[in-house]
This record gives sequence, structure tokens and C-alpha cells, in this order.
Amino acid sequence: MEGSDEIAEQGFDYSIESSSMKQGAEARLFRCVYLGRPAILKERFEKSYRHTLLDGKLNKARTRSELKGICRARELLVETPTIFFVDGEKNKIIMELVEGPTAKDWIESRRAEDSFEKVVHEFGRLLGGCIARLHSGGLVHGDLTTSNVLLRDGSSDRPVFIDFGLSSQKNVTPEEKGVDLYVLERAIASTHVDCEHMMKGILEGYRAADQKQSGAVTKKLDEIRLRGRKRDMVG
Amino acid sequence: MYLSAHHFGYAQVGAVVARTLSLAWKIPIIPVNHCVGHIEMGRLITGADNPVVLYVSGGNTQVISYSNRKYRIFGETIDIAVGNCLDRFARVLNLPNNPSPGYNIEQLAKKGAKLFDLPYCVKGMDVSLSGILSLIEKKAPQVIASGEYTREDMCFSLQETVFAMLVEITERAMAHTGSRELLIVGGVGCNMRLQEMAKAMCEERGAHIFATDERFCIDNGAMIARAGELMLEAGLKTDVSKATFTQRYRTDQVNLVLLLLAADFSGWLLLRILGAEHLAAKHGTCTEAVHAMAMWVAMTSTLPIVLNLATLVVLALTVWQVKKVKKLCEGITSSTHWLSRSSVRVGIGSSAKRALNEYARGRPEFALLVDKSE
Repeated sequence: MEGSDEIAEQGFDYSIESSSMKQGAEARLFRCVYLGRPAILKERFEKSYRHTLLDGKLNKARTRSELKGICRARELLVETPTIFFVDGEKNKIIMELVEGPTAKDWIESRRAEDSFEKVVHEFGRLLGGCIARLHSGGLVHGDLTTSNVLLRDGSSDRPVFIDFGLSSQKNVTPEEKGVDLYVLERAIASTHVDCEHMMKGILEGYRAADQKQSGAVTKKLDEIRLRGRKRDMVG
Repeated sequence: MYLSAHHFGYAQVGAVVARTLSLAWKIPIIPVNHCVGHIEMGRLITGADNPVVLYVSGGNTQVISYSNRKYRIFGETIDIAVGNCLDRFARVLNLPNNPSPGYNIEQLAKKGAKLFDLPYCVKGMDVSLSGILSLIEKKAPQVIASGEYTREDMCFSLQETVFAMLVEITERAMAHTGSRELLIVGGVGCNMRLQEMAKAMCEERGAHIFATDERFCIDNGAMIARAGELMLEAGLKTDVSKATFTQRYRTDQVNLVLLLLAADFSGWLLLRILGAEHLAAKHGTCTEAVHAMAMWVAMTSTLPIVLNLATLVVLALTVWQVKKVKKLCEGITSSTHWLSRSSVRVGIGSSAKRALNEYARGRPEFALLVDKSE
């Protein structure tokens, strides 16, 4: 594909910028152009540290659940990047390039503002609403962090969820939904300082969006918080 | 300085001793978090600056990164620790505890090749290990008995799966924080396969790995001293009445002034590490105190020994005496016995018999004994 001599018809050109490689948690991302549109090539490359069998199995499973997760999320009216092309053999996905910062960068950039607390709380409510929609549709993201939410054109009311590699669907229990929220809570606590009100906002938004499931899920969440090692046991 | 968060029983003794010493010699007392001790030791030995830390041992499995004056836990095990998982599997295979079960698994795993399908449980940044252990505990004896997999294969599979999970959550934390350094600490950190996998991961990311060998990975006193030293420099001291210990002291509850200082003085610190005499001078208070107390120490350590020896001598003498008396007693017994026997055999003489009869006749209670024949 790279540096091909034939001149593509206008509007149908493609190229990969190998210089723009960015290594995420488990995949390499390249900026590219696909049929004239700016796109991202996400490649779950072979991990040299993992046993080949295990690695192959995991990469395949995650590429699949990423695609399925994105499709389901779109059905549930939660924004995700559009999929352009899939190479099942090499675990490559070409998808739309979403212009905008990650929620993580956006939150940190607003820190200096006086109304920071309120802004973050509002944003949390919005996120909570989206997560509730995913959950009530039977989709659990599995790796919710502020790095995995992009803000289209930098506006906080258009969150785009990415990285559905660890997502799961069908027969999702309140337990899994609770873990999903717990993972997010932990991610916020470890990434952002003094953002407790953000999690409050998320839970508020979650409750407001779906009264039916939120009872069971928040109950589970309280239960999950008490699990784990060396928790403080008060009382 | 002493340990404030670790094995319950030992920590209790340690805390009592530390408080006593502190009061007796007026030394500042510093409670040190066990895990922070590991990290600071690792940083000291490897020279890592601000790494993501993979802390893996028999009791802990955490991915830690420093941010905003605290070590923050990015990911951890939600049930059992990885060392615990390996040790318990070693028990299933009846592997010896010498030098450590984990080491024996590592040696066996080197000869394994066939991968047994185990669950792979990464939940966001966390891992879950108890399910894997339950499964392998149940299945391993079956598949080994059927000859499908060998013991080596099972060790290999367990290591490959569990370490892949650990390396993955570490990679997630590194991607999340953007850190280019990884430090592995804790007992399981000396496992060469884990180090190898982590190294491969770091190379793929263009990051640098810092790992130490078993001398520094496994629990040691120097790491507590090192963390305590940094805390002392940062001016963190604790009132004796508050110098207790807790098993539930989490890594992310420690306030770290010292890291900011350490960063500022990192060059200076290196010099200090090389100058051992400087360290000795620093702990002069302690040495002096030992000299002052020398006589008491000698007294309390020698007096009981002397007393014990004296008791032993008295005991020996008594035994000797008793033996002598015993011989005499035995002589008397045997000669009396002999006398009585011979008197029975010979019979009592006629005059004696008469005299006895005379005597018996005078007493009604002996009437029956009187020889009527006379």
C-alpha cells in the first residue's frame, strides 16, 4: 500500500504514515488515509512476550469483541468511531479518525478554571448516561478509563467511546456492569487528583438514565468496592 | 526505622522492639511501609527515576505508579497474589520448599513446552488469579495422570498465562501514564521468565526495564532502612505512641514527601550511597549508645550462663553422691536377705525356740503361735 506508484482516482487514495505510530496498551495505531478519508489503523500485533498460541487466541478474541462492541454501541446510540475495513487475518482494523482530545487531557486542561468542579460533574453526568445506555443494551465496555473516551472536536457533549477490546455482550450480569463502573472509578482515582465529584456525577447520570437497572448495579458496585485486598474495614 | 505493614506476628514484635530502642536511646522512630521499602530499594539499586512499578510477591500483586506525592495503585490482583498462586500449585505437584516453591516451578517450567489452556482474567487494569488456581489444581493431577501433559508443561503453562496477564496490566499502566521506565520488585520479581517477558514488552514500547536479583527482590532489612532513611531526610518522624503497625497499610496511603526530595537530590544521593562511612557516621547515635551500655550487655548476657554452669556442677555432685549411697544400700539389703534365708534354712536353735515360746505364752495375742508339742 505504501508509496504506491499508481495514482488513485481522486477521493479514493490511501496511504499509511508509518512515522505517526503510537503504541497503545495492546495495539499499535497508525494514522492513515483510507479512500480519501483520514483514518486510524489499529493493529493488534503479535506480542513477543506472550506464548504464540495464547497470543493468537487473545488477539483474535479481542479484535472480534472490539468490532462487535462498536457495532452494538452504535445501535445503542453511543458514539464510536466508524469501522472502514477489517483484516481478520492480521487483526487490523481501519477506522475513522476522531479529531479531538482524550477525556483525560480535556479534564486536566480545564483544571485551572474556577468552575472546574462543576464542569467535571456535568461531564460525569453525561458519561454516566452513555454508560447506562450501553449497559441497558447488554454491552459492558470492560476497560473504561478517561483515556478511552475521546471528545469529538473538543466539545464535552460529544464523547466517543473507543477500545472495546475487552467488551462483552449478551447475558451480562449486574456484577459485570458493577465491575465496569468500578474499573472506571479506579481509573479516575489513579489518573485525576481530586476528581471525586466526577464519579458522583457519573453515578447520578447513570441512575437518571436507567432507573431499572441502576438499583441492582449500584448495590453490586458497593459490594465490589469492599472486595479486594487490604481494604479499610471501617466499623 | 522499622516495618509498619507486613506479617502480623513479626511486625508486632518488631514494633515493640523498635519502640523500646527508640525510647531507650532517644532515636527517632519511623514506621516504613513494606511495599514502599521494596520500591525505594529497587530505585536505589537500579537508578530508576520515576518508573511504573510491578510489585509481585507472595502477598502482593500491584502495578504502582507515583503521582502527586503518593504511590498510586493502577492495577492489582482482586483476589490472591501471584506468589501465593505459584506456591500453592507447587504444593499440588509436591515440589520441595527448598530454596522456594516458586523457584522450583521456574526450573520445571524451563523444560515445559506444551501450553495447557488456562483462563486469562484481565479486568481493566486488574487481574484475577484465584479462578486459574482452582482450575489448575483440579485439572493438573488428571492430565498429568493421563500422560497428556507433563508436570513441566503445567508449570510452563501456569507461568506463561499468569505472567502474560501481569505484563499486560503493566503495559496498560505504562500506556496510561506514558512512563518509559519499568521496575520489577518483590519475590516473584526474581523469576527470570517474568523478567524476560517484561523486557520483551519494554523493548516493543521503547521503554527501559529495571530488575534486580534475589538479593534485593526478596524481603530484606536494608530496604526498610533505605525507605526509613529517605523518610528521615524528608523530616518524617513519628511519635512513639503512634508508632504502631497495621497489616492493612496500603501502598497508596503513604504520603511521600521524600520522592520530591529524592528527585532534587538524586545526584547527591548517589554520592551518599558510595560513601559508606558517611552512613556509619549518621548512625553514630546508635553505635555510641551500644558502647555506653556495653557493661550491662555483658552482665546480662554472661550472668545467666555462669549461674547455669554452677547449677550443672551441683547436679553432677548430687548424682555422684546418690550413686555412692545406692551401692551401700544395695550391700545392706543383699546381706540381710542372705541372713534371713540362711536362718530359715538352718532353723532356729532349741534354746531360742524355748525363749520365744516363753515370751509368747505370757501374751494372749500370741496364743495361737505357741508350740503345743513342747
